[in-house]
Amino acid sequence: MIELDTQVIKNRVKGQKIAISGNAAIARGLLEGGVKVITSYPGSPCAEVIEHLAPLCDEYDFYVEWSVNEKIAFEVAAAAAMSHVRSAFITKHVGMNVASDSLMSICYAGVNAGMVIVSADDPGAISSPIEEDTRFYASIAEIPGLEPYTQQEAKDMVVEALNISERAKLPVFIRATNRIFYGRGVVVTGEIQNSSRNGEFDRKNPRWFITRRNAVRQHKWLHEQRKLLDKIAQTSPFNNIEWAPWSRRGIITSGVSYHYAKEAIKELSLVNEVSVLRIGHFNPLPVNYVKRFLVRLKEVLLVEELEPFIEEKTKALLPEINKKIKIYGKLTHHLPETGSYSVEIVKEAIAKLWKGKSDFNAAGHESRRKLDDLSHLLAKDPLTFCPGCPHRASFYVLKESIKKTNQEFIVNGDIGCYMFNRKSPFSFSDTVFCMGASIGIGCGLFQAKSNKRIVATIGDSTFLHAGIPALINCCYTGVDILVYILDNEITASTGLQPYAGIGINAEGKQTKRILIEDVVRACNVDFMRIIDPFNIKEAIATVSEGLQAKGQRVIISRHECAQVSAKRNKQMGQAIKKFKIETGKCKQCLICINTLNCPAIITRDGRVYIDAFVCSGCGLCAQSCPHDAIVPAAKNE
Amino acid sequence: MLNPVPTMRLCLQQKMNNTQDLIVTGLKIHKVMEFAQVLSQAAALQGFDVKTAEFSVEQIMNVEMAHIRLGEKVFSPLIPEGKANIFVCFEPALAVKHIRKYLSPDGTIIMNTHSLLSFDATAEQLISLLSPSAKKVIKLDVFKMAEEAGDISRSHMVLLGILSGLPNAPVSLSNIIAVINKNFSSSDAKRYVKILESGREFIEKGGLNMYEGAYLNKDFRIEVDGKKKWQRLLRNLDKDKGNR
Repeated sequence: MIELDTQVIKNRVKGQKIAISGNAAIARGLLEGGVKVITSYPGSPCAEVIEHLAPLCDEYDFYVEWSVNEKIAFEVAAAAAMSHVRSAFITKHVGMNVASDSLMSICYAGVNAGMVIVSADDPGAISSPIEEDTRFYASIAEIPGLEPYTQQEAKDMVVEALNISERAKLPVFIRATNRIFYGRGVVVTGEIQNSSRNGEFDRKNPRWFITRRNAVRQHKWLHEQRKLLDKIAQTSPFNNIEWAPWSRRGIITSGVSYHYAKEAIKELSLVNEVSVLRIGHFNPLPVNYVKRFLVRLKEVLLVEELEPFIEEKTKALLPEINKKIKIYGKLTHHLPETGSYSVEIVKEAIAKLWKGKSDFNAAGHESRRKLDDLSHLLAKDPLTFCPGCPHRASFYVLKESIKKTNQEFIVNGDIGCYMFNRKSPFSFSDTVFCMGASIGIGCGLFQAKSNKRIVATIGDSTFLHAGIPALINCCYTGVDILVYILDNEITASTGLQPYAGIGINAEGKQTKRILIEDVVRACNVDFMRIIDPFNIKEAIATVSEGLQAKGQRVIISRHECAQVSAKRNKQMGQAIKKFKIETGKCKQCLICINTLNCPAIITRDGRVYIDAFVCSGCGLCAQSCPHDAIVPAAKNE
Repeated sequence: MLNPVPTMRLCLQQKMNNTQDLIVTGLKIHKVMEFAQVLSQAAALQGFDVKTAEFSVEQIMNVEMAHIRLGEKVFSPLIPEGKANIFVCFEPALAVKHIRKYLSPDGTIIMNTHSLLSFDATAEQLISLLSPSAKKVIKLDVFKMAEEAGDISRSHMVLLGILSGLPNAPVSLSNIIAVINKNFSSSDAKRYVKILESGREFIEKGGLNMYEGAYLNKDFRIEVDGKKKWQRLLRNLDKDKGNR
């Protein structure tokens, strides 16, 4: 899938009309803008930007990096922009929190070449732990903030943001939502610019030394830039008004919500009665532009996803206009304050407000209710590990070991594929917050003298991202904890990106490998073992020992991600040894299903089958079957 | 920068054209996203405005869904409830709730009968769940067809072929083939086109017969009362499983 888009965006031809995803559109924008240093840490929904660009590195002479975490990624990109080299930092919304420390101080200094920060918000928390609105970062850092409403605008905005950045000497913040990144739209390609990657850093300039007097002076400079930023916002090509001739009503919207609003007023036949203002340049708000829209109207509805960012700023303008205008939105509870929007949600709000009747579909509701009653009969949303996933084996081992010790443990989860252990049959991940929190929360639970012992489960890439300081904290303060590191030798949950633990960089080239066991040893833990989770008997013995020991124990459960091995087997042309259930031997005890929940094992009419198309041949079920009914299948079966 | 106050002409321009709305659901292992990508690129090639909304995952047995909208001018990437013209589903028992939510009353369902999941519904229950919207249903085992055509992992190509043969086909076969030839290596493309054409052939050889308001698959006669078809569907599924 990624290869397909990459093929499309690398074409040098100008004016080509293509349907690409938002990820590919932003990647193309970075190519067209001549960006030379691009950094990120893998995170959905924006992980594919780097993946699209990585194969084109040599052809277009730029540098891409999967950094160890977002703070470092931001610093790498900012330093390049300080040295007159155009750069970009791509992050998901929660990554902005990690990078925010550097953002605040680096914005005092400013940059020399264009720098763009792309932040991917996730309304509805579809692929994230939380749904945060990162527009506020543009506001706190006092930098220009833009939001695209289509993939085409996302591409154009990246190019324009680089120009704005060079004019204002500040990084420019682009916020887009999951519907831009995980969606396709028609994009017309522009010309690919060439710029220089030979940087020049002026070491004598005092603006790079942000403390005390320099800090206050640079803060003042930042405020003085405000005048220029206001002017840029006022004349931004990304703001647009569509007037309706007989209207005293209007909608102010931003980003993808624009489409929902347009479709809703079309379906309610209000096209000639409701004017629409789309704000693409949200920070600083184009005040005069908004005022000009407001003065003609009597009622305005604000449609924006997540926080009422523009709504609050619009309300603040009312005293200056000197006219009675009613503003509706999240603050007046006309629209939901959480979750992602859809045409139905916006339509319902507009219908209630301006049609005086609800759009609620009683028949539809009735049929949905009937479906809910019968939903237990349908196939369940699988929401599980892949067939052959090493995490399944790791958690099977942990579960069996905990059973053996006869104690109760709090099992903290972290961010990654292994979060699916929350589901049956494992029922782990009692807590999940953010990167590295499993260990930090574990420290606090211990200090609060909680009556249960603690296990922290954390992935390999997550451990290098935010787990190391937390583990050092455990050892330094003497916390009793078992840290169970699930090392599948890849960043799996965002789409198989390489990381420092395997010593392969974003371009796919070999670099130095940072071994997790060496890092753990250097933290001076009391107990460290490495297990292969598919070697069940030995693994259970080791984990049981680790659970019963005292002090800081670390167990690294290492086995390659099933998707990586499957890919390699396919490339090498190796056949996979699949498994089947011998009907005669199977006692229908369902132990395989109830302890492993492998999607390859399915039941129908009281019989158990292994689907040959899905089976990955890991053999875990064969090891766990008490009746030896699961055996390797012959080739033709 | 301020736009002028519009005249009547401008207002008339705002009148929007109807769109073709299509939903694909399945598991990641079915390559739902590649289906969406090939289709949307083919539609762009055909000169349509295209927007899609994709719900993708990285775990191969988790559920993916793509909304694909094409027409002269498309606004919302998400399809409003009850507006989808065509519903393509790889997993029948998973798709029921989405079909009921999104499919328009005169919409078409293209359904893969080979389920990879466990489910306990009886024939009557499933038919009662589907009945308000299931009027035109094309059913087939895409895995079997893809395997016969050479590559079981590209079963979505069969469905693309079928889609291009519908009376209200959103894109033409030649444009899909052009996209495949442009984006895959020549040996892969050759293989995929073969699978694609097997889907098209299925439709042309009578996969699509109008009968009592229902599209009929010639291998799979639908009883007029609609009850026995699900019993037979489930029986066929079991037979398939047994053979495997």
